[in-house]
Amino acid sequence: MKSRNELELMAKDMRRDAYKMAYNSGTKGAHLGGGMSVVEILAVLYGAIMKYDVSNPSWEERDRLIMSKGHGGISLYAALKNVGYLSQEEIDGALHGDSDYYEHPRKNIDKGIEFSGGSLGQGLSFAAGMALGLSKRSNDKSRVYVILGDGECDEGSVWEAAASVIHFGLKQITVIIDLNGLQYDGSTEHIMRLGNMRSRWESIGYDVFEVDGHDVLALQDVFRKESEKPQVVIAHTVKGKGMSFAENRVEWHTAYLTEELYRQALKELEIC
Amino acid sequence: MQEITKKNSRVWSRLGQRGTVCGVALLEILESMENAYVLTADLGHTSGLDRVMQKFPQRFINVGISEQNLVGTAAGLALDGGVAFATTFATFLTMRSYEQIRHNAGYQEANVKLIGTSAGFAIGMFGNTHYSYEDIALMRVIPNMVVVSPADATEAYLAIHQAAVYQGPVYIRLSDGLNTAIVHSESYAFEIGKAELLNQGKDIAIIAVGGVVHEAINAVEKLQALGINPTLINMHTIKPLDEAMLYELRDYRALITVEEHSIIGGLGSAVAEYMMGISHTTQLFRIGIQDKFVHPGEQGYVKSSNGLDAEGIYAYVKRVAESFGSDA
Repeated sequence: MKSRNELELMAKDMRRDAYKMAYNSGTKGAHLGGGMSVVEILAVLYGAIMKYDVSNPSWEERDRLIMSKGHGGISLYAALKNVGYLSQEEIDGALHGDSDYYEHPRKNIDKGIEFSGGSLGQGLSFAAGMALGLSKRSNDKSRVYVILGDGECDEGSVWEAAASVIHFGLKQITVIIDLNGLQYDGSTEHIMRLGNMRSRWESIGYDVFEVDGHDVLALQDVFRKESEKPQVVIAHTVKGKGMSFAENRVEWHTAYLTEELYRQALKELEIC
Repeated sequence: MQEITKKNSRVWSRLGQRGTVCGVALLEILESMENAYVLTADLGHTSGLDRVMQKFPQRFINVGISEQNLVGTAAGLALDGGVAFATTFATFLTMRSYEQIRHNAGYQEANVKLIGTSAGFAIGMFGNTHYSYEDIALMRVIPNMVVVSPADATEAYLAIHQAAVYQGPVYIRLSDGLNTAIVHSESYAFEIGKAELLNQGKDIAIIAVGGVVHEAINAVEKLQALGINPTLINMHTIKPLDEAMLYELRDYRALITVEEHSIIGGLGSAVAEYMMGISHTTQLFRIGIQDKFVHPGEQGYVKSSNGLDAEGIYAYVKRVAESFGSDA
C-alpha cells in the first residue's frame, strides 16, 4: 500500500513530464485532454498495483497494461519514466524529431510498452488474446489492465471483445474506463449516447466498480478488490485535469502549450 | 509432417486446400507445437476444423461472428513464443478486420497466420459478399506481411507447415472445393518466396498464382500442340516476390499474369512494380478480374466468364503470340 502523498507526488512528477513533452512537441500539440485524465490511474497502477521488473521487461509473471486509448501516450511515457523504463533524455526527446515515442505509443516490451494503441477499439481484443495465452500457459499470477476511453466505447469492436472476455472467463482482466465525458467533437452524451455504462457492462457479466479517477487512494482500493469475474472500473475523470484553462474543455483534446500556458500549468502544479 | 507422395496428394486433393489445411495440417501443427492456437469466427465446422475442436478444445478458440475480435485476439495470443492461426472466409478476414491486421498483426509483427478461405469466387452461388478478389492487394501492402496463395492442396499443406515455423504475420489465401486439381504429386521443395518453374519455354511467360495455376498448366499443354511453348511459373508467394526469377524474364517478349483476383493490386501489379524498376524490354498482360463486380455463379462459370479457365488463358496467350508474328 502506498500513501496518498507518495502517489500524488508520482502523479505530480508525471504531469510535469507530460507538460514538458507537450510543450516540446511545439505547435503540433499533444493529446493533453485525454492524457491528463488518466494520470492518477496510471500513477496508481504503476506506483502501487502492477508487478513488473524494469531489469527484466519480458518477465512472464509481470502484469500487463494495454493502453487501448493510445491517446494517453504522454501519460504512459511519464509513468514509464517515473518507474525507470524510460530515461529523462527519452522524455525530453519525445513527441518530436526522430524520437521513438510518438503521440500514440508503439509496442516495445523492453520499454514497458505492451501494445501499439491509437486506433480506438482494438485493445480489449488484444488483451483477451493475451489473457487466453496466460491461462493456457497456466500463468495465474499476471493481471491484464486495459484502459479504454469513454468515447472509445462508441466503437463496435469494444463490445465484440467485451463479450469474449466474459465468454472465455478471463477474470484476470480489469477494464478501466476513463470516463471524462468528452470526445473530439463534444460531450459523449451529445455525440453518441451510450446509455448507462455501468449496466451495460454488468449485463454482460462484469463486476463493475465506480471510482473518482483522480483520487489515488480510492483508485488503489478499487484495484485491490478481488472478484470471481472480470472487472470493469469506471473512473470518473476530468479531461485536461490539472490545467485550469483546459479542464473539461473540448478544444483541449489535442492542443499545444504556449510558453505562457506551459508556465501557468507548471505553476498550478506546484501550488496544488 | 507427412511425406509428399502420390497417395497423399490424391487424398489431399479430394479434401481440397481448405480441407487439407484445416482438417490435416493444423491438427499436425497443434500436435507438434504446444504453443499453437487455432481461432475462428463461427466457421469451425464449415472450415473443416471438427477434428481440431475435438482433439484440442483447449487450443481452439471460437470468437463468434466478430472478425475484428478474431484478429485482435489472435495477435494477443501470438506472444511469448505462441503462434495463432486465425481462419474465416477471406473476404471477412481481410476486409472487416483490416485495421486490426495492420495494427495488431503487421505493426506489432505478431506471429499470426491468417488463413483466408473461399478466396476468389470459390464459394460460387453465395455471390459477391462472399467473394474476395481484393485480398491480395490489401494484404501485400501491409509492411511485414507475407502473402502466399497455394496452387493446390499439397502446396497448401506445405505452405501452412512452413508458415507455422516462420516468425511473423502471414496471410495464406485458400481456394475451396473438393476434388481439386493436382499440381504437385511428389516431393517438392516448397519455399516461401521462391517461385516454382513448371515449364521452361521461351518468348512468353505465364505467371500464375493460386487455384488457377492448374488452368494455366492445361492451357500450356494446348498451346504446345500449336507449337507455342510458354514458360510457366507458379508464383505461390506474392510477397516477398521472387525477384530473381522475374529478373530472368525481363527480356521475354511478353509476361502474362493469371490470378483469381482483381488485376489491380494483385500479382499482376506486383510483377509490374518490379519490372518498371529494372531495365527490361518485356511487355506485361494481366488476366484477372477487371475493375468490376463480377456476375456471380458457380466457380467454373465465373472463371470462364472472366477468361480464367484453361480455354480463356489459352485463347489469350495464343492471341498475344500471334500478335508477334511467326517469329514468336
